[in-house]
Amino acid sequence: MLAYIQSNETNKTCTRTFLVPKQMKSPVYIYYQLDNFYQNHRRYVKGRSDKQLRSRASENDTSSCDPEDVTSNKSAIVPCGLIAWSLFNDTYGFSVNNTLLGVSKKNIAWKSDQQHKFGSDVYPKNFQSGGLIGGAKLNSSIPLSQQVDLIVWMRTAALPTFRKLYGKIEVDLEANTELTVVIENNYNTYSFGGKKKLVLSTTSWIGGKNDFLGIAYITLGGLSLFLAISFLLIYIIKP
Amino acid sequence: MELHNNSTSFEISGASSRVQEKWNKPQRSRHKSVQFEEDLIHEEDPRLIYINDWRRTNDKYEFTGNGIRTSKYTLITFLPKNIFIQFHRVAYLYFLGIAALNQLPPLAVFGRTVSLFPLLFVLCVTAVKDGYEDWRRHRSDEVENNREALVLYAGQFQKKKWKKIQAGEVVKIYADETIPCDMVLLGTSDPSGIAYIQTMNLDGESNLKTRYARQETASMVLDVGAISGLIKCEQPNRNIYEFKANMEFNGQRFPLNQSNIILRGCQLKNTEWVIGVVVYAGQETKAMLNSAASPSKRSKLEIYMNRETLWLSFFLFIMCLAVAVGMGLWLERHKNQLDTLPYYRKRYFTTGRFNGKSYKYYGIYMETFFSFLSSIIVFQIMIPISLYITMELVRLGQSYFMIEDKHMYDSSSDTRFQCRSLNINEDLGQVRYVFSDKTGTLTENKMEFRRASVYGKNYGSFLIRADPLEENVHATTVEGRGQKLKSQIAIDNELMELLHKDLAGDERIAAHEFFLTLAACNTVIPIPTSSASCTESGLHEYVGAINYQGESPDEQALVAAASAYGYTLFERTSGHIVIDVNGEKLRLDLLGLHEFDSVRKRMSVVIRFPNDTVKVLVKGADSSMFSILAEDSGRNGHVRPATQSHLTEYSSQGLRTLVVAARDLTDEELSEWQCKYEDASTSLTDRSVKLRQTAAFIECKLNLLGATGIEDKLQDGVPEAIESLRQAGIKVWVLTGDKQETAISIGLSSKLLTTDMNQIIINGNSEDECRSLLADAKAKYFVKSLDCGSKYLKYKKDAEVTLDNTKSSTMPQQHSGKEEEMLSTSHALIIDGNSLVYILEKDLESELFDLATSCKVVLCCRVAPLQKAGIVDLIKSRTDDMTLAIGDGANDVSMIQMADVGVGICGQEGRQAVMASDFAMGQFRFLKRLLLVHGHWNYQRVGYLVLYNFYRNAVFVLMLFWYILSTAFSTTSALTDLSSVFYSLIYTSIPTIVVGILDKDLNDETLLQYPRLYGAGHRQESYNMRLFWITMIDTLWQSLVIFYIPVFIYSDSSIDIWSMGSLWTITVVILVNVHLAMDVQRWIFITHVAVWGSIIITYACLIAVDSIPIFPNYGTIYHLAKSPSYWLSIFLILTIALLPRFLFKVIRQNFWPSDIQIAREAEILGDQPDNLPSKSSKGSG
Repeated sequence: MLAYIQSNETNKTCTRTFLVPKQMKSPVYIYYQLDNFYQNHRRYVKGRSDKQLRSRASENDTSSCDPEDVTSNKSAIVPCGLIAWSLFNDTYGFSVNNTLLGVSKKNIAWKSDQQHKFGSDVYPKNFQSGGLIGGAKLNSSIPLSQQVDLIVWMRTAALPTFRKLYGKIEVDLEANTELTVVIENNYNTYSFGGKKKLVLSTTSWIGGKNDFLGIAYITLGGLSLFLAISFLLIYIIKP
Repeated sequence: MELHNNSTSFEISGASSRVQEKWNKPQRSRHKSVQFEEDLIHEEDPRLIYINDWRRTNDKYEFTGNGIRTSKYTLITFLPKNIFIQFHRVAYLYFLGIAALNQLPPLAVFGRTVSLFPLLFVLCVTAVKDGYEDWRRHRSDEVENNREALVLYAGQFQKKKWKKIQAGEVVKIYADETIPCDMVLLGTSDPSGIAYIQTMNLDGESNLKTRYARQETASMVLDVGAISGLIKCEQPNRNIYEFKANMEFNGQRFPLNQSNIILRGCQLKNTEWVIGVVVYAGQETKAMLNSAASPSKRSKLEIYMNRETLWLSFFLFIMCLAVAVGMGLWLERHKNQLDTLPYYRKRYFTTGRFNGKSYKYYGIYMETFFSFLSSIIVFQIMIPISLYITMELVRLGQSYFMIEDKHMYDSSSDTRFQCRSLNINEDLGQVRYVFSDKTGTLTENKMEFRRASVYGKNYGSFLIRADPLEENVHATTVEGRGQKLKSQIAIDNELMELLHKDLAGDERIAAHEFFLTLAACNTVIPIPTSSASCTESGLHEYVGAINYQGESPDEQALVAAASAYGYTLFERTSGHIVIDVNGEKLRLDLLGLHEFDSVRKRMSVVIRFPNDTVKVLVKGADSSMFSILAEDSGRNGHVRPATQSHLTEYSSQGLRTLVVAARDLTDEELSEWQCKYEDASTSLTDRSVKLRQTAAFIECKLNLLGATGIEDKLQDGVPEAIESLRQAGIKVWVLTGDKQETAISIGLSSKLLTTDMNQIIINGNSEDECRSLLADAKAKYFVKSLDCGSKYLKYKKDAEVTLDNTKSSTMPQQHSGKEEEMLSTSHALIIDGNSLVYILEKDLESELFDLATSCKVVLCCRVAPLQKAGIVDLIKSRTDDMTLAIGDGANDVSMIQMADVGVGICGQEGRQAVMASDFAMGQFRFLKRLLLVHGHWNYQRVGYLVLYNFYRNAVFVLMLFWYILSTAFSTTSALTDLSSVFYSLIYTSIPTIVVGILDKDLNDETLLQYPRLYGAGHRQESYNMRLFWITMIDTLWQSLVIFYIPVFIYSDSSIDIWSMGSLWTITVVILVNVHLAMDVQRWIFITHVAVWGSIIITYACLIAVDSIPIFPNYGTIYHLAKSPSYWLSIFLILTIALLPRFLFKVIRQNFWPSDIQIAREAEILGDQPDNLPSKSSKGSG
């Protein structure tokens, strides 16, 4: 299995088809979900150099990126560090009735990140050139501020099970539409015993879909009502 | 006292060595006290001062110059020394240790500089504070050192800076100047060599003291250049009440004592100039040697707090262990995957030099260990080190409000409340025993002459306040503590008539001598204040213009009384006394004076009348006087029993009594006495013993003249204060040096004793007697608690046979019903110093303890200062109860230092008590407010502060802990480094301080009205183990809520670590602040500012930190704030986290309210329900 995923030759494309259970208004957000990936591990969280990401002048500021800091000939890796190195590299293609749906990567990263944190003059360099390839490669002609997948990935997740925004489908999906997904299954989750999931979701005014918040508030409201009544009774019975 | 075991009786040794010993012979006798042991050292190694020859004096350069240095640092030593001193505190070492751990590469949890921030912050603040204080000291030293004085140089007085003055030099000082160093007086402007000094700076006493130059030198001072001589004195020491030296001058040798020396810091008054020779300079002066701080005490709550801190350390250990074990197990499980995990890298994979080498990986065991250490770093604030600093600040604030309390300001003496110790504010809320001195504490120590018994006749029993306009009333001003007290002395006309008869008849002569003694036998100094306008001088004109200044208020009262009866003390020098007897001036030569001491309990003067008769006039305590009276002759046979009965009468009225006696001295007696007196007073060693022997030689076979009764007025509000304290459940014990009858009478008048109390009196003269008395008392009154059945019978029997119960008849009626209460409350134990000697030194201690604690009131009379401390120690060592000692005199110092809380009264007996105390105030009645109001508040506040700080830090640490469990035990913190550091430093610190200083659970009126509320402190309601555990459970719940609710809400989302961290930061800050807000009982503007301001500050900090692009968390807060679920989450967490606490509080308040809550509700409702006490007793029961 490991050999399969590590090999560059094997074809890792697979196709899945499913029904859209109910209507999804655009934009439909595409997330990938990884389980058991400790993006919050201390050794991992620290593996980045924000100075380097931000400006070209600090290209050699890689001290915090150890062990993915420089190539064997002491040339700095841009972007350096474990986080960038392990960039997620599965790709998804969606089609309805053999019509390809466009996946927009616009605005999937935070605006503030794109504008101020990832420099528009910083271009990938020496990336994924070492002995071990951790994930996606970057087009070295596109500045980091435009590498939205990287920017999303570099906002490391808080919990070991996390979702990251892959892109958006800018059309409405009707109920019972048969959606075909072509997956390039490149990312190695076997190394950490993890799972991958693909999630399509819409948003409401509150943000993402969130059952817990609703249930919790309803429960809390009920409890408060109950307490209010009991205190009222106590007050009436025993002043 | 450590030399106690090798002491023979000290009288005997003195007697044997008295005659043959010269001052410089080696000492053979053994000594009883340390002080005398010290003399021996001085004897062998005297300090030699050559007058007017400082080079020779200081030829070995061993004496310091007169420059002083009270500052601790210089510019160069400041940094190292200050840091060294600061690191003496454990808290700083903990900080340092954590910061050092964080510098190790494998452990670097926080950024290296950030981790140093808390330590540096605290160090800097303290250093700035210390530096500023030291700078002020430098400046005052500079001012002090550069003052100028006139120093004799080549036959002339020239100005010289203080710091250049040397021991051996001769210095001249003018009136109102401050004395630059300790000097032996050579001469003064007064031909008889008297100088008056004010020792305010030294001991706080504002009255003038007399100092004398020796006659031998006083006559020589006009030719100062020629003075030369040698002074041998003790090595420098800190005893300001003693100085032993002798002087060789013109071939004579004579002694010098404390009255010949003027000390640095004193001021010269009423004397044009003095000339003296410097004996101690600079740091060796007694004033400098005395400027040491009193020992610090630790509050009880703090001790408990340390116990709970140990628990917290244990929790910390468990948490770190959990993380470390988790880390170990995780590594073990993923042992084979470690190289392939994308988020864990233990080896370099880059080709080249490092290829294959391990990267920051030291094997499973080391990694486990490192993970343990790094979790200590992350969880460091579990041990609330900042709490100690917070507590200091809070106590400082509390002290400010206590000092500023207008209700504790004594306008009559212009004294504010003083907090001298900043460590024990909260102890005031838990006091169970109050040990009070009587004189000056319960009473005003303003003496008024009330009664006199002259020659067996009682006067003043129906005193009428004479009309001030009447001619025979003399307004006498008595100077006391800086302000004039005009006191009218009521005159007994009968006695006045007697005095205006011709000087004939025994009774008339006795009366004459009686008042002569009152006027002469004392140390009071008459000071003519205003130059009386009428120089042709009728008696009455200048009487009004004389100020009597003296060290003893009794003497002042007596002199004033004598003056009122026409015996006006007019002038006093070391050689003579002038008394104005009804207009005629009577000049008496003062041959000798035996001062009052506590062993003899009397004083005497030997005077020569103008007609060459020599008399010794004695006054003293009755116990010490009756034994030295002449055998009853027919002449005064009736006088003695009559006087004795009068004395009993006086003391039963609460008057202080003195017995006055006199006798003529024959020429032989006189010359023998003079010889002895000379010898004794020139002696360098054992002088006091020898003087005592000499005194005993003439103080015998005296003729009784009469007795005086002086009223010692109770201070304002004493009975009320005592009553309130008692209602508050505080036991008030009075420890006094007065005699039993006086003590009981004061007890009665101060409501300490009530008439329906059983008085158990213990005054035994031997161990066995004491033992049997104690046993009797116990058997009679307290054995009943063992067999309840026979209680009533026995009790009845007791009532019939009680040895001293005065009003037992009221007992049986009360008895019905509440036996228990009666038994425990209605006994008063009265015990005297003699018995205490036997009891405290022997194994009877526990018996006394049992008896005393079961009595409602304990009065100890005739106790020595050390016994006072012994009694305090008896309670302190056997119970956990808090003790408070209050007193005003030097004799209370030991007791004040021994008790948990020492309170000094700024009275008339000097400032030693105040200097030794933790709190000082002007009046006894302020004690009520201090304990019931401030003590209560401080206890509530500090108790809550401690618990809250535990909670505040623990909830934060636990939140981090839960998160670490879901980061593969890798001690990642979701919060930014700055937030972690700022949390306890900035985000949440100010509200606790403000609440700790300002929160009031109840109004002062309510607290004063219902003293029972003080019981909250006794029951440790604000801080105890149970509350600690409840708080910890609450903390656990809140931390779980704060961690898991966001986890559930965001479990299926793309939330990043910084957003989560930001959410947690703000939620925990709001949570702890709202938690605090729930418990705040008095909202004032500043509380609002602090609580809500903290939340705003936190937001401001988060926004600031998230606005710096080089931080990975850049822009987080802006992004979050746009999302409604963020705000909803915060609200949800707050509600759920605080719900159990809220319910708990509400249910408790509704169903099991405490006294305090009831009182608070009453306060809020605005009316004061009369049934509160009964209700509150139900609540507390």
